[in-house]
Amino acid sequence: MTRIQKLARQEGATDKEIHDTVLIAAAFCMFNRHVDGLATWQPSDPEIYREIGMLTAQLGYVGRDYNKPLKAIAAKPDKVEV
Amino acid sequence: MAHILLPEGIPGILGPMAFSPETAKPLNALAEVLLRGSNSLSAAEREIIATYVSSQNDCYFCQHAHGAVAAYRLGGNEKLVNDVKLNFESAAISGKLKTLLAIAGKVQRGGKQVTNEDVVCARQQGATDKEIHDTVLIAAAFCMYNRYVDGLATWAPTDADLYRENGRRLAEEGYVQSTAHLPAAQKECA
Repeated sequence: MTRIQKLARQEGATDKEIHDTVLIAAAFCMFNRHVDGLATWQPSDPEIYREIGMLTAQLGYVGRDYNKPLKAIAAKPDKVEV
Repeated sequence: MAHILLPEGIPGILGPMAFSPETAKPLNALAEVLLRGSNSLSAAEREIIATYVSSQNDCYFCQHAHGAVAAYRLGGNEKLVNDVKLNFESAAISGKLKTLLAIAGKVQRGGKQVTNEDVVCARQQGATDKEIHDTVLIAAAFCMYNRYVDGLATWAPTDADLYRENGRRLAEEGYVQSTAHLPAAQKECA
């Protein structure tokens, strides 16, 4: 057993939880670079993120229609920064 | 020794993929689209981008696994793959691939490192928006695969022949079925 495994186990983490933590962290190293490496538009209005959060929680990542315009953006077109 | 109990004798990413088949499936599907799907960049060029990023991330398993696929696709030209890792600017590759590797190297350090100038240079060498997009995503994806492999301290064999054989198999048979032969790990880990 490695030191990391021993410490995590002491706190009750399972091997699956350690595995999933490493893969979630690694996957977000990918998603973050995909987003920033292409210099995508990132709005600053928290309402937009609330709506995205609600849609993602309710519909999931696969079930969401990413082409459907967000209400928070349609309601305040002046908030669109380019 | 790996940080979690993985089946014995299974190298690199294949260990955690055997441990977690439900995440292995989309990870392999992404690799298949990015590296073997229909694309104006050749499969060898895309494997070279994957190998270079893995080498910049100091991931022994990934840089040798994908370096072997690249070399196989280049008719066994392992020297060219090594030249790219050492200094792609002086390697015998196209000007376009050099500009894409420059973008991939910036993505490896962090997405915000990529500049407009980097993208302009790639376009001047004939790179399309899809090729720029795919380069960014291949580089980003290997920042994931590399961290998955090293973050769990998986076992990486050093026998070059093993990577050559694996490279031939991946090039010919693809990524989707690459873990089909692995044992179900849950029983062994119980």
